[in-house]
Amino acid sequence: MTSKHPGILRRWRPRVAAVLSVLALITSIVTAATTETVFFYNPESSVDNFAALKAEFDDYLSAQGAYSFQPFSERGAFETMLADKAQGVYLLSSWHYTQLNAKTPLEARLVGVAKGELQQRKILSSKDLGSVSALPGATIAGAGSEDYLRSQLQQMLGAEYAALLPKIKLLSVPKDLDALMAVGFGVATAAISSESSLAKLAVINPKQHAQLKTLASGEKSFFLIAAVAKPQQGAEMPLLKVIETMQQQPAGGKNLKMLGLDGWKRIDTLDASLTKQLRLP
Amino acid sequence: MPYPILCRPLLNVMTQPLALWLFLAVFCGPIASTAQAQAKILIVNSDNTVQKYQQVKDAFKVQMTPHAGRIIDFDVQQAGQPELLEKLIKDESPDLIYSIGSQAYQLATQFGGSKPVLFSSVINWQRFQRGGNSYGVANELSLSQELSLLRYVLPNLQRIGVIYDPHFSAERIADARNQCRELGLTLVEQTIDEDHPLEQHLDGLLDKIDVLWLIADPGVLADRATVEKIFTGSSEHQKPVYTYSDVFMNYGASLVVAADTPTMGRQAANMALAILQREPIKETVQTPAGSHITLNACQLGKLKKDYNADALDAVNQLLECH
Repeated sequence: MTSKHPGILRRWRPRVAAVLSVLALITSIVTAATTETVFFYNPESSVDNFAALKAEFDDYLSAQGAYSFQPFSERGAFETMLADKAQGVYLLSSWHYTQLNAKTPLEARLVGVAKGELQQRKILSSKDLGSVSALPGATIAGAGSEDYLRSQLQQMLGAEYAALLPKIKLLSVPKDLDALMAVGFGVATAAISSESSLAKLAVINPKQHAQLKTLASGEKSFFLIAAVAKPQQGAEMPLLKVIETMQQQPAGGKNLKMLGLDGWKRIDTLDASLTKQLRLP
Repeated sequence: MPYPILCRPLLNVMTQPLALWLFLAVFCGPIASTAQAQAKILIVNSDNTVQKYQQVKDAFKVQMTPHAGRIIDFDVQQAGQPELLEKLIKDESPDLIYSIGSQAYQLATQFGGSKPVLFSSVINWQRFQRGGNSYGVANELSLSQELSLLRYVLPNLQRIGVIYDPHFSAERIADARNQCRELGLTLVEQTIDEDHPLEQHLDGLLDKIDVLWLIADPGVLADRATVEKIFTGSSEHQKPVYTYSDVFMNYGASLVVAADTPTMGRQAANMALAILQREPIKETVQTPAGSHITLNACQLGKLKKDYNADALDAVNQLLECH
């Protein structure tokens, strides 16, 4: 094709391209906004499996509708997303949920189930220390963010030993089993883990397990929570249903295992004494 | 200036024990925390473009920044001339040098003088001569952790086959033998050397085992053809391969457990703090505490082997057939 004004065309070509790019960007934003998303952030684990979670959940969710999965490694980014009130479902730890609820209203709708349990207890185990009073100078390994680990430790030590906290170093490791084994080979003095992880260690490394003793334990807390932002619009209900029924399909069940869960239980079917812990209205 | 150096001349003139302790308590205590907060740390990175080095450095900085006065970066590759490092150390006089990778560690010990040198991401650190001011985080997981995690992810595979050259791995295999006994696993060993080449023994070994454990033995992993031979043989015998590096995923490894890189950075930061605070350090070279797991579910499916689904939340990378 020839033109009478090739110079003008050449001059305008970049501008046309720029306008087209902006249009494409607007289109993609509009498309993203109409796709409902599951947002995920868990300060109780440091396993960097975000790429695997994204791939597996996107595969599963996209087969159920116009849904996608968005994991976050940074608490701040997750909370900003929530503050913007993006439509979707939020998967988060119960510890984070109770903290967040004070500033950004959320409504818990589902609670994770693992081995028939809704709750877990974190414990502090050590090989060489006889009691928590010997903790000053110790390195404590645990899975999760430093904020989370420090708060768990604070709860376990209580007011009586609160003064010890600044004298303890924390080492964040990817998973509970790493923390427990770190005590076994002397990198950490003690480990924060769930009771169920200690039980797993008993199976895979009985000798290391036998060397550990429990120094302190925390209160029971729920596994992951599935929540929606308040005020609830109702548009999230179909996506919540997809999440709730994940365990009924092999692919969904496998994805739940990647979160450490076997299934979900609806909050409105729980005993009032349990829901009280989530500070629901 | 770190506080013990500042306080040292004063210690010499203070001969009365009570006065000495009063002085230390009143003045040197606050100086200690100030000195730690103002500590100058030099990070020497072998090559910033290597992702694992970058990850370990980022994790170190996140953990260390609240405690350090200043952190200076030096990239060996980018600088081009190692002598620039010598000048930097002289000009800046850092309180601690953190070296990432073998090249950085060698240069840091060469130019660092008596300054504490901390290392990580150094493959087989034992081959380097270490001074009393040298500390580090090893690059390889402990055998106990390696074998425990194998048992966790693939619990039905009890007979573990290993091929090794006694010239390189006799000690490691002796340790592995003990660890397997403790974990209730059976280690089936096959030695190879010039007189007993791999070809003669591979099929025989694969017949007797549930899983092949491929270790970092230069006598076994001599070349690409040998590696391919091992993986082809394992696949023909329907036996999964468990190994230590994601590099082997391309060959068809079923499970890889390696050290978690960011955790090594955090460990190094905790060690740096202990060094700066003059705390006693029990292990001058620590074993990596975090693990990174890659599970090739697709390959296991092809071999008709199950994995522990409850271990999926510990897996970093999951490879499915798509």
